[in-house]
Amino acid sequence: MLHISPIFNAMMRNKSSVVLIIMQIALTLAIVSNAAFIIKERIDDMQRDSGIPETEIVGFSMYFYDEDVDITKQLQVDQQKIMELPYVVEATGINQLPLSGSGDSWGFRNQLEMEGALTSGAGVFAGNSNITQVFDQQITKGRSFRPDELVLRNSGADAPKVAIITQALADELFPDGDALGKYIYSIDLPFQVVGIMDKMQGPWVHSSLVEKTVLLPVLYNQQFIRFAIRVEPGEADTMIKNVQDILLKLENRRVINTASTIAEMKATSYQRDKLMTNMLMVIIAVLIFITALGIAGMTIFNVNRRQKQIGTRRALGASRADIQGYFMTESAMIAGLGIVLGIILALVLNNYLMTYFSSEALSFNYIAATLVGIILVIEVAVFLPALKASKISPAIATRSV
Amino acid sequence: MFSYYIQLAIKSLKSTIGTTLLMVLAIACGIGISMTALTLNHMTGNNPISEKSDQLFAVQLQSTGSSSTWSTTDNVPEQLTYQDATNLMRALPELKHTPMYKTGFSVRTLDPEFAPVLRSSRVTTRHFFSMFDVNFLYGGPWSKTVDENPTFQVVISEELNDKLFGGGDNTGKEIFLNATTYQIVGITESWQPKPKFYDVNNGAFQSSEQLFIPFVLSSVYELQSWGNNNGWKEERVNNYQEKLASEILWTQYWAELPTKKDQDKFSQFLSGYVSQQQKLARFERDDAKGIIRNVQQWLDYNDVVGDDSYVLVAVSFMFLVVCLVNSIGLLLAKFLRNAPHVGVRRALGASRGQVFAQHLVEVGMLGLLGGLLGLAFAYFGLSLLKNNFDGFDFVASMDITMFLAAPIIAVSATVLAGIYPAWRVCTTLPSIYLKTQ
Repeated sequence: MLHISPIFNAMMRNKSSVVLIIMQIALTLAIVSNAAFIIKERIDDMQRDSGIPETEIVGFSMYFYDEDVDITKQLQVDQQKIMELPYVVEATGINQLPLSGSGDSWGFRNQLEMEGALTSGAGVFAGNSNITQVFDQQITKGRSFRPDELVLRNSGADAPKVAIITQALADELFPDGDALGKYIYSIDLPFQVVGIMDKMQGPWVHSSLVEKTVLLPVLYNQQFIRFAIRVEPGEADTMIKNVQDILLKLENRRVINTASTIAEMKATSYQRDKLMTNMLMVIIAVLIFITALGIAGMTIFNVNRRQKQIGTRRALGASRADIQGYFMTESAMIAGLGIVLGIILALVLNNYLMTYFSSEALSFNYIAATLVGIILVIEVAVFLPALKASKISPAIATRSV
Repeated sequence: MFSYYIQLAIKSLKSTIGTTLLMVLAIACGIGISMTALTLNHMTGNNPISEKSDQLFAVQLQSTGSSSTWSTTDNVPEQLTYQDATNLMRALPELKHTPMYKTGFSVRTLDPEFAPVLRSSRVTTRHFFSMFDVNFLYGGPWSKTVDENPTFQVVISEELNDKLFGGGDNTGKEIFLNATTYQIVGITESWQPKPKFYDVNNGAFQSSEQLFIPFVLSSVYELQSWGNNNGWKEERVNNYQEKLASEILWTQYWAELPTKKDQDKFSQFLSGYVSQQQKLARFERDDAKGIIRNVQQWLDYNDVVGDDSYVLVAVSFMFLVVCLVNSIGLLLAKFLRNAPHVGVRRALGASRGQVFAQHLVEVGMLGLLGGLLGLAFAYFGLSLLKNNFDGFDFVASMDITMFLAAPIIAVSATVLAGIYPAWRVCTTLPSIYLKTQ
């Protein structure tokens, strides 16, 4: 029915162009499947739930340049004034902002003795006792901080006694699931875990510590300090516009940097991933387009070159569908060969990426999806030229030249 | 003869305008995308001080605990402790070497109306300027005495000078850094090495500092590090003096060692220092050692370019290969279809070499057109990057190498790709085609 053998024979008369198309299809398959896989990995990373309402939290840094300013006191005055605004939900002075790329991490242990302890690093957020409300955190086990637990850290000796940690950190330090009420230690400082929250990402989105977060009820007496404000939905721009004036009126011996939402900081933190995915998407799109045009172009040439033969076949009784089927089958056979080679190439390329660039193993789904896509694109590309071929009049066979 | 080939080529390209456009477009896309990726890679891989790259060395010490692990490839920390930095600084006065770190201040003039601006600052010694070829507009570095006795002197950049005073020679004037007055001794020309090789801690493409103050001030005046502070030891650090005496790693260290002899001398001194510290039981590790790396080695060691960039270059060049394979296929089809004409030319006396050359000229023209269009595509791609991603101003601009590379790569790649089709067509026997005519 499909006349595979004569098609194959015809292909063998024109080996080099067949080989070129096979190469093109194989390379396209290898590139597209690997690029799609990288894109998917990056998009998954970027779309991870950070556990906080990114567009409703406004953050900024400020620098107190006069040593006479009582910074911890000023932070509380600022907080009170900001929270009087009708569109503000919660606010606190803080040491670092989530997803911003800059902040503090400490090492924690599950026991005081270092020998035999489970250890993990974690991003540490130090703010007022309302810090869980600022980041809209649901405490799944235990409780939030009480106002009397706030410590003003004017010297290194002043340390809070309690901590709220994420489930990810709890699982790491207390694999038996009994973290609540236990103590975690940093150097020789103990903190009792009074609450566990489901999820809150730290400052470094590309770090293995990103989901391991500790909240402490402490305001630092640091010249360079930050501030986090949760506003009503849609009010972030108003807050960003007004915040400098409001705070400088309260105390002008400081420089306040431009505020932005956590969503904007997140976009900056993921900038390189965004660049990578955009570039790869452009490559995939153009590549498929070029391959499709190339194959269509080749088929048009073949059709033109074989006009006489096509006319002869039509004159000998072949139907239009037969002619169209011939070209569709031919391209499917070429595509099949290209795909076999392409799968091998895709795996080789992935292996290279894994060896040199710590990439993950390519899932076969990506190859399969790309493969189906490529066959579709090829058949679509061939359809019109093949249709044109089927319309060649049998009379052409009777003409000389 | 060449101009005749060009005429023939133009005629041939025009006769199959659709195919020509398709081939030019394919080559242009391939060149455009691979040039964009290559430019990003080339510019991030830039060596900003190539003329002194072999003479400037980043200094590292393996001073961490016996079981500490570090994120570097050789497990050695990138930075030094304050105590090691000051110990090294005092040795070998005949060579130029200097510790440094980043801090920052609110800066204002003595004019009470001036709204303070926040600026990062480099804390270092006078050697910094001559080591890294920082030129002065006015004044110069502070003196040797200032490096030894805490003095409130400052060098500022041209940008900050413009911001504070609107330009001009302001050496000798005083400015406030936080609440302290510093005297300006020098104003540097604008200096922005990309990457910022001397301190890659918080991103290798950050702006350079606009203020420079003497390192010795750290001993009397609390200057907070604005860079990375990494600890490995379980130690409580309650105040600034304890931080200076701690094992926290937060200073960078560079040495200028112009000759092999200097390099050996410095390395020997470092190993002597390491064994001394081992005897004092401060350095715990058996493999404690000092390492020096020149600028290029340092940039490679810190992977300034990044994996993504190499992956993009690899993928985009594979893409270029597909575009070329595509063009070879089309060229082959086109040339073979034209074989009857070639047959006539051959029969009329054209040699194989002449037919071959004529076809290669046609291919070369295709390559040139594709390359120029590709260059435009790359330019467009890079300006898209610049506009949509912060901080790409520098890396997303082509230098002269890239401008020349695009058409050269395009022409040579297409000519290479065109060799097979051209060879196929020139080896066809004229008799076959003459018969069918």
